[in-house]
Amino acid sequence: MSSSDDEEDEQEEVRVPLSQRPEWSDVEPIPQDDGPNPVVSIAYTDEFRETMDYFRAVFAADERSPRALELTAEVIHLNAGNYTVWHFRRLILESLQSDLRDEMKFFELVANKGNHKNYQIWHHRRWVAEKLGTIAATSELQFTQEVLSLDAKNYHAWSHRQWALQALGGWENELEYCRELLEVDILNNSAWNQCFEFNVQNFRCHCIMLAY
Amino acid sequence: MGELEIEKHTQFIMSVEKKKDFDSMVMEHLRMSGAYWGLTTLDLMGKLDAVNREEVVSWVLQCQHDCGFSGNVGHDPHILYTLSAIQILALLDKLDTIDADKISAYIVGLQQEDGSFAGDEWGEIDTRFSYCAVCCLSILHRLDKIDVGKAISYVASCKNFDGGFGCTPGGESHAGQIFCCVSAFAISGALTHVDRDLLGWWLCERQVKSGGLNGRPEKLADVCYSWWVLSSLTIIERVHWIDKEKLKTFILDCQDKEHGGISDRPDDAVDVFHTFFGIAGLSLLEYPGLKPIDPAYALPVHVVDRLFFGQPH
Repeated sequence: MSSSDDEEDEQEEVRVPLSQRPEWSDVEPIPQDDGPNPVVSIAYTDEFRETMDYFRAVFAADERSPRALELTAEVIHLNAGNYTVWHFRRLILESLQSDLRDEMKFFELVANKGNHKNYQIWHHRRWVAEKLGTIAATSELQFTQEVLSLDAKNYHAWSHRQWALQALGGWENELEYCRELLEVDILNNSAWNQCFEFNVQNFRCHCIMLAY
Repeated sequence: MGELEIEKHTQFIMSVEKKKDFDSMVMEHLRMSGAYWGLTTLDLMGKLDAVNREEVVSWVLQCQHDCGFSGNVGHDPHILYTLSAIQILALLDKLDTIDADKISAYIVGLQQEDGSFAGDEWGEIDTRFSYCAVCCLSILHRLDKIDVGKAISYVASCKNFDGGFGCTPGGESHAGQIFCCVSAFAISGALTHVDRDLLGWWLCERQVKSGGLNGRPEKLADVCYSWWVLSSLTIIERVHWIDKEKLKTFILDCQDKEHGGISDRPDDAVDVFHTFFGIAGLSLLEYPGLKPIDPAYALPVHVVDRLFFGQPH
């Protein structure tokens, strides 16, 4: 973890402004227009301002290219909460017919920067996993387990885990996982809730079996 | 007990634009909600005249798409920011500047087969969006445009064994989600779906030693739960189940008395989100000098009265 942080620091130190990159020389950046006396207007760092100016340009042009995809990654690294950039990233991925297994690697980098409570990242992950289908079952349970090992009550992780179990399977092993968590912290309300949900799912399975 | 520093908080909200920190940067896409939090707080403190209303309305309308509203100019529409925009326009008595039928059609289009609501075209489902839909349409006097029965059934399906509600069926009970579900019921006239004693017990258990409220068992107190928990308790008429004086003290201790603003817990950094929820919570606790706030619509009571008992649009 620390070596990737060092690498990231190194990358931040040598960042070349977009205005100086030859591959972006054909683009006219679009500045933010907040109006004359904005309510709740916000001051920006230069890097953020420039990256957003270029993003606005590709967004306005609806450019769905590999460089636009990379630019969305730069915006996301600066502000992972920007939902519009995630939307546009999805549109680009669809247009380029990108291999979504690569996307799993991408936002694991984003998530590692302490964004485990970010709605946009989790929703994007769900969108990718839905597209990948059952091949994602193991990875989603594994990923949520990793996040929960850092924060055993992360609401987003539990919600994503429940979705993955429902959509991709695996409920039969869930009680054992909850038991492990409760051995660490008997007061983990999220784990207790999951136990209850396990019983609900188990009951449903038995009803279906009986019906047949 | 300390005093509520109304002048300082007013200055803080008006000066939020000068901040250069990371928190300001990350608010760019949700500026519509930031504006709603700031403006409503100003009105609760009787300071809304500090703002140029025409400029606010002009900016809000720039965020309008063919359908809903976005979080800022140049962003995509989303039900969260559509509600914030409608709440701002209701606050400023400028709902006549928008096409209510168009906004309603956008929200109707987000309702799913099972009665739930997506946040936008990308399909994220959450009871937060059920609340946004119901609240928004009610303000626009067009609640009948959605399938209210199905909407309520979906919210009811998110009820848990502890009387609380989660984001989706089976999701852990969470005070924020509970506010959304209970308010959706209240606005739709469907509070019979709530077990008031069971939920009231769960909610009053959120009060910790410091007097603050947490959002789930064994979590830290946070000023924003002064709203999510308190408004829910108010709606189900169980607010006397918590120690109001201790909660008041906790919120006041979360103030930055020098620079204004309120933080999540004492001595942390302030932000406009926690400033709103802290002052809204104090309003529900009938702190002197604050206007009353409606617990379901999260707007000052005089605004809600104007919407439903004033001149019809």
